[in-house]
Amino acid sequence: MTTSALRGRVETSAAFDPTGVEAIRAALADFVRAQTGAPVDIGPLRRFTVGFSWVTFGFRARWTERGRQAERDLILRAGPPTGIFGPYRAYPEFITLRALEKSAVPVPRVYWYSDDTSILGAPFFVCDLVQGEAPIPWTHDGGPAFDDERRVRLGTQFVEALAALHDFTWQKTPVAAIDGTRDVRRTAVEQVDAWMANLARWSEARVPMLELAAAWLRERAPVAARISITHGDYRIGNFLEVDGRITAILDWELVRLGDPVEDLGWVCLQAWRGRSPYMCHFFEREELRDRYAALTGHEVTLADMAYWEAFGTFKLAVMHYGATDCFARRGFNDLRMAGMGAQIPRMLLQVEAAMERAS
Amino acid sequence: MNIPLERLIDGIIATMRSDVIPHVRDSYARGQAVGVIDLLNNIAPRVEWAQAPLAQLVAAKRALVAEIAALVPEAGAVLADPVDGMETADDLLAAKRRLDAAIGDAIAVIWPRREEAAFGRLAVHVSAHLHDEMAAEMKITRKPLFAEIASGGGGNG
Repeated sequence: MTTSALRGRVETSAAFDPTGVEAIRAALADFVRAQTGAPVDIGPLRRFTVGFSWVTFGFRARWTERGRQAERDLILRAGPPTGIFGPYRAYPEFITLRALEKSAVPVPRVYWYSDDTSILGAPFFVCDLVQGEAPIPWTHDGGPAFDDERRVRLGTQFVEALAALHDFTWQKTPVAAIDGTRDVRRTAVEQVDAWMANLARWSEARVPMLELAAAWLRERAPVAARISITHGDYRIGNFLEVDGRITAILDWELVRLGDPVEDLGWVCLQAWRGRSPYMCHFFEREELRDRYAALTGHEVTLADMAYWEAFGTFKLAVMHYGATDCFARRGFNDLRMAGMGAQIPRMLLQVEAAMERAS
Repeated sequence: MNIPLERLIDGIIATMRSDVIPHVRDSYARGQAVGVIDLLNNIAPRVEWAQAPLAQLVAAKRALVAEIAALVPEAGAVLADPVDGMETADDLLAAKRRLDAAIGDAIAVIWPRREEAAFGRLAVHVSAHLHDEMAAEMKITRKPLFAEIASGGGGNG
C-alpha cells in the first residue's frame, strides 16, 4: 500500500492507544484520503467491546470511490501490539475477505488495510459494519444456547458456510500468498510446531503436559485429503446472525492454508459447547460430519475429526498462555486475559481428555 | 495462577482506574470502586501465592524426577538444587520451573521409547503426575464467568 505520504506525520505519533479515538480518527481520515485521492469524512469512532484480540471501532464515513460518492457505516479493526497474537498482520485477513466477497461465505466487504504500524500504531483494516448479534458459546447454566428450531436453522448455515470456505478455489487468487502448509503430509506437524513455538514465546516456564501433547500429535498426524483456506477460529461466537440468518463470519486473524478438517475439529471443542451434546451448540459429531460430507463431497472420518479436536484443544490451551503473557508481560490490562490464565488447569485437563478420546 | 501476584494486583488496579471507575455514574458505587483500589494497594505488600501447595508440588516433582533419573540419568541433574532455603513462593515457583524443564526434556526421551516396558511404566507415571497436578489445581479453580463477562451482565459469582 502507498502510505509514504503519511509517514512523515506519523513517525512522531505515539504507540497504538485504543482510548485515543480522536487521534485514530484523524490518522484514519488521512490514510483513507491518501488511498482514495479524494476528500473523506470520518464520523466519531465508538469502540465495541467484542473480541479478545483485535480492537474494533464503528463509524460512519463519506468518501469518493471511482468518482462516486459513498456513505456507509464501517468498522475499523486494529491489532494492538499487546494483543494475544501480536504482532499482527492485517494483510492475510484482508485479502482473504476480499477474495471471498463473491463466494457463498458470508463476509463483510473490505475497503482498506495497512500493516504499516506508523499509521495507527497497529495493523488495521476497514470493512462494512454488518448487522447482527453474535451468539456466544457460554450460557449461564452451561446448557443449550438455542432451541431446536433455531439450532438446526443456524447450524445448517454454519456448516454450509464452512463447506463453502473449504471448497473455495484459492489457488489462483491472492490468498495463495498467505501463510500455510501446502504439503498434505505436513499440515498437522507444522501446526503443532508453530503453536509450540508460540508457547515458547509466551511462557518462560516449560509446560510438560503440552510437550507430551505435542509428541502425541506429531506421532499421529494425519495426511490431509486436500488443502483449503482454514479459518482457524470457526465457532459459535465468531459469526453474526439476524432472525436466524447468519449475516457474516468474523474474526479471520488465524486464517491460513491447511487441512480443512482442522476447522471441523475446532468446532468440536468442549470449550464451545459447555454441557451441550451439540458441537458449537449445533449438531452432534456424526451429524456435523455427515452434513459437511454431503455439502463438500469429501468424506471425513470421526478419527480425523477427533485428532483435530485434540489439536484444537492443545492450540486453545496455548492461546491461554498467550492471553496470560499479554497481561503478565506485555502490559495489556484486560482482566479477561488474566481470567484465561486462571483457567489453564481446566484447559490442560481438556487436552488430556481430548487425546484420550482420540486414542 | 502463572501471573506474578504483584502484576495481577497492578493490572486489576489499572483496569479499575481506566476502564471501570470513569464509567460508574453512581457516586457511592464509584467510591466503593476506589475503595477496592485502596484495599488492593494495602493488600499487595502483604500477600504472596500460597506456599504449602507449591511446596507439595515441588516435592512431588522431585520424587518424579528421581524416578525418571533411574532411566534418564541426565534428568537427575536438577535434583542437585538445594531444597532448603526456599523461603518464598517465588523460590518455590523457580524450583518448580527447573523441575518442569527437566520433566519436559525427559518426555522427549521417554515418549519415543515407551514401547519398552520400563519406559512405558515411566510414561504412565509422568502422565499420572501431570494429571494429578492439574486435578489439584482444579480443586481451587472456580468456574469461569465467561457468560457474564461476555454479556456484561451482573451476578454474584
